[in-house]
Amino acid sequence: MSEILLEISDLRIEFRSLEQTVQAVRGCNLGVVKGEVMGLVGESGSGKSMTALACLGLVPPPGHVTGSVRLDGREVVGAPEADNRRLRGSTAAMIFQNPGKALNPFFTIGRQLTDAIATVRGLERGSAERTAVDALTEVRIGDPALAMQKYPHQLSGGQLQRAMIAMALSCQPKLVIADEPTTALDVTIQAQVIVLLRDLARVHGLTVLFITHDLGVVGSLCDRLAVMYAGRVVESGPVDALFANPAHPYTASLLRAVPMLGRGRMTLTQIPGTVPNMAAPPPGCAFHPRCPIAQPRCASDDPASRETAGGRTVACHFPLSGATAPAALRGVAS
Amino acid sequence: MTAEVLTPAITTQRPITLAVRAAHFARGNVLFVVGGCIFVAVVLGAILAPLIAPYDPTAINFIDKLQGPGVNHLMGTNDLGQDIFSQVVFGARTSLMVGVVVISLAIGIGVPIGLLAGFFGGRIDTVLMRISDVFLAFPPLLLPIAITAALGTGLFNAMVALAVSWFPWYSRIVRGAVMRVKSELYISAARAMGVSSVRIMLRHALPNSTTPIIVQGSMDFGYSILAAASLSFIGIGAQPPTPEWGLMAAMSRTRFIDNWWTVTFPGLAIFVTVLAVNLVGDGVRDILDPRHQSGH
Repeated sequence: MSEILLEISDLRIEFRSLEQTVQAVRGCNLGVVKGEVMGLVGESGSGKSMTALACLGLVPPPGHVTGSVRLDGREVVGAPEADNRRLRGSTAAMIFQNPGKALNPFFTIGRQLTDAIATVRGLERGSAERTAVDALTEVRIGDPALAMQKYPHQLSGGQLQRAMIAMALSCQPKLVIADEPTTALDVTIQAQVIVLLRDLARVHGLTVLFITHDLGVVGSLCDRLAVMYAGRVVESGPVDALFANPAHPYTASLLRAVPMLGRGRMTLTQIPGTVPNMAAPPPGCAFHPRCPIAQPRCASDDPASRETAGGRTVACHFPLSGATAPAALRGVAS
Repeated sequence: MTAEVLTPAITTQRPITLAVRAAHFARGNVLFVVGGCIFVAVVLGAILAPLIAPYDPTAINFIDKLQGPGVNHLMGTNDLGQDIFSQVVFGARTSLMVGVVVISLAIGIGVPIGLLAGFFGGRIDTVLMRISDVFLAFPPLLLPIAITAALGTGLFNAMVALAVSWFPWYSRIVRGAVMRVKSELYISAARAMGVSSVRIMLRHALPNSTTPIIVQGSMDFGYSILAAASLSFIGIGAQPPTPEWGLMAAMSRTRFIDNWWTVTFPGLAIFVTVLAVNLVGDGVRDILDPRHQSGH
């Protein structure tokens, strides 16, 4: 087995207030191996963004983090802020959802890239500037020298996201955390950015934690996939195997909710109900109120995550297998 | 895969600089232009005062005392025979200097406090802002009067006193702006790149909070001139023989009924200057802060 770069075990993030305690993440387990692109999928509010922030020790103040996040062998949870700051940018860099707001409107793209590179890699300004131009060239921005002189509002969303990717990559991080980097972009631009990320990941052998709610993106980009529901990973494994034979009913339902060409109009289904209120998650399996195959046991007994064949894990009392899947969930990936 | 190269969506139009925006704005705003012209005239008058003023503003000439406005003395003379026009011209220097010094000091004290309070929040915020609130609790001119009384009279002390009683407004404005900017994604992004808090505060939070400071500064400029003139009028600001408009009005106030020009011209100078500065200030606000713009 190859080296594990990021290991999250029993991560819990709580937001306490006088009225209630919201459990954003409730015992998340996740490992990212060096060189792979790991997809992290879940609905809004499933805790995937919080998990990503916890990887860099960036959970906002009222958040209470317990458990363990080991990034490149170093424990992040509970580590002093100064130590975590040294990890950011150099060991792990983050790409954000909204590139238009992730750059400071006050400075040019070039200034911000140069600053970031100079700070993180300790280069002097001249070579930092050359590195910035190289990075912009690599992310296929037309005329990098011109783009360097532009302010964020003078570039389009796709251009800005390329610049953000350039900034993240030019600091040569071991891990890139991409938090829904394509969500705010047009569909055609999305495709370009994803192709770019995939090519860059291949060329540089990047390790990527790719957070999204778009299963189509996962299929075209990721090696492995972890599905999050209500603050924990309910299923993980190689993308192909997981798409072909989802073991968790939630994964199966998610896959059925993806619109796909050639599958006809009527087969697109929704998952009944809504994401549980994380201030009062349901007892037992968090998914049982929405699960089509829930049994009495699911309402009382919280299923632990178990390893199954082919490097997969699933947290379900009654995992699906290709043969036993009930009609309601069958025919998903065929 | 296709290695597509995108042509950037960059237009070739002229960059919209502040000057371009100001010119565009001025075209539709007569008051801004009028205020701007008067302000420029006052500034030029202050700079070129020795060339414009026909007499030494402090020269006493009892032979010509209390002359009405005429050919020799455009605005007449006071009870010491000093030429009022020359005093008014030199007074512009004092007043502009007061405006610049008071506002600079107030910004110099208020901005760091607001920046720290807004950026770090929590206890730092509470302590700094409560201290600022103490200064705001006094009626506007009472605190400067008390401070000058303690420090001693004089123009410099009056300016310090005004700045000290004025800085909380800047603390509050900067604090609000920084708190808004703090939640912006580029602050989080900078954090995620490993940038230190102090650097984020100075390089990201402060530059993006400057607009309201400039707007408030240009609005307050006129008020600080007025306030300094008021302090001089009640005798705790500028002292004779400094040519200062408020002081001139004060020195001659008993003669107002018989010799109207002695008080009227310094008063007019204050009025016109403050009005012009405020008109410019309104314009600056509208140019920098489009939300306040009345549809034009």
